[in-house]
Amino acid sequence: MSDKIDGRTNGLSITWPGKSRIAVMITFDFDAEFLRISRAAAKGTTIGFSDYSRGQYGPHEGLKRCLDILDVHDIKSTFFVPGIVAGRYGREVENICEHGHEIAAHGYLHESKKDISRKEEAEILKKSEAALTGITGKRPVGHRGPESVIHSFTPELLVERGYLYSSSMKDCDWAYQWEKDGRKLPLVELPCDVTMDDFTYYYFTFSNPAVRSMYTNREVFGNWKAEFDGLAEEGNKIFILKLHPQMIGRASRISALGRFIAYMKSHDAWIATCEEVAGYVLGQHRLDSAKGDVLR
Amino acid sequence: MIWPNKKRIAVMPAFDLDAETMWTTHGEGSRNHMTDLSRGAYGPKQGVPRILKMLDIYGVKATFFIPGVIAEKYPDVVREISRRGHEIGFHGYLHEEFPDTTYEEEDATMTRSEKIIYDLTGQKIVGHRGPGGVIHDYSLKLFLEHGYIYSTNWRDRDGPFIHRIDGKEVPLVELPKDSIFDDTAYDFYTDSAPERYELKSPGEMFEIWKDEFDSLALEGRMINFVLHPQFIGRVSRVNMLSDLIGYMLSNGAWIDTNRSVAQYVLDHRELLSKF
Repeated sequence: MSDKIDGRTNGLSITWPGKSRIAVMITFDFDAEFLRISRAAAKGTTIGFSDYSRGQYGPHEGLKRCLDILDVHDIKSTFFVPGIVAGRYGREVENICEHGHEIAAHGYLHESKKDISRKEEAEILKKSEAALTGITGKRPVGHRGPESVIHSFTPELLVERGYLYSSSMKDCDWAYQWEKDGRKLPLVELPCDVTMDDFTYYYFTFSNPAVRSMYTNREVFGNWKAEFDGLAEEGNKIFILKLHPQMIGRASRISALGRFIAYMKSHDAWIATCEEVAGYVLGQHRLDSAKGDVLR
Repeated sequence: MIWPNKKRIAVMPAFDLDAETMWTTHGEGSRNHMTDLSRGAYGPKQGVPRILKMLDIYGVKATFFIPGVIAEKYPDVVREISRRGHEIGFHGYLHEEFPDTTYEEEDATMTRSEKIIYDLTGQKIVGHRGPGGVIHDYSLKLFLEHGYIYSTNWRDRDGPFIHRIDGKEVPLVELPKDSIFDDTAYDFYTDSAPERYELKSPGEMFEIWKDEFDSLALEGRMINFVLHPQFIGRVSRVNMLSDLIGYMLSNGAWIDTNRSVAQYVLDHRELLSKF
């Protein structure tokens, strides 16, 4: 397996299960009101009732629709849940588990500070793992940095704590293994991008810091379909939707999501949890390194 | 008809391969931000292979403006760009966007970046696009001293023109650009300060560029693109760009590097009044 950056290599050679053309992960960041609380904290502001209440649209309204549409299409998904959300919305997180979805780590308070120490990050991981394990009975194997913030020491820390994958980077459209000093770590990166993040299109607030986006479903799902089609054509790529129940959970959007899931299913997508895809990728990489490098 | 082979318009696909320097010079919000920097890395790692493959389908040659430090970080990518027949132009060493840089400092930066590109590819740089659109009152003089034949920094016209120093024409062509042909006007979204909350669809970008192409072609003008592989390099946008290049080629476009167009203009100065 080689991860060459040479202007020619467009990803690693991989064959998806059942000759699927692409691995798709429909993921949810279940941040509730802490999405905005941590965002404001990072900017030195605080939030008002509107932002607070909008965050709670996730657990109070959006989540149920998300779970329903996943059931309709018989799909398992990954939910990235801050530890404090597991504490405050324990019943909702239990419900996600009961539906067979994966629960993964996403900070404790949805912390997005860039200048923290390795020790501080280890504490955050420990606290969030305890909160999640208390509900799921299983240690999380996946991590996504709140607001995509991770640190140079994060990958090693994740390996030490038994994680299988990270999903924060944005440097390519294929799954790869992290390296340290030229040595592969048993940690898979599942990169994603703002283009496939519902926050980019649907978050609207007047309060500081203002975010004023409001797109039609036609525009949003048009962008996602164009990316899905192109990546499926390339054959060795992954496609991650990064969704938030408080945004995608509105009625019309869930309906559009359902139609898009059906489209992907009927166009040879392997739709699975991040844990399943990361495990599969790691297995394939090990097979390939046993056989020697094969480049596409 | 002023363009060669009765072409209606000259089109320059040009890519600013800023990679991580887009973020290190973007503002405080991206400092020590690993995943913002990884968005920059998407350019050389993921965008460039797709773009080069697409350009090869049409046999079209482009210009890549590359900061020296990025060439040092991704030498194989720069060699591959050159090997496939594309031009490499000057774009700073660190993507410096400082208005108060002195003549001596800028002279040294240009020499440094030119040497890096020459050592990697054997290409002698002949064109300048200022990082962040920043140039200086001494810039034209420096371009001439470095043997450049073109600059692509002005935004005041839709056609090439010959620069003047102290009222006298010098052998230096301007190939103007504008935000309307800069993909970051449409696809540079970031939640890091300074925030940019907009993301247009590939279809909208195509529509804007095709409309402008059609009208400029009627006037016999030119288009100089400002494309960033880290954003335009997403598969949906490369596919859109491919459709656009196919459309332009089918509708009378001469698509070539900045260097080729600049040389043509220098060699046909008598036609300039018609541009």
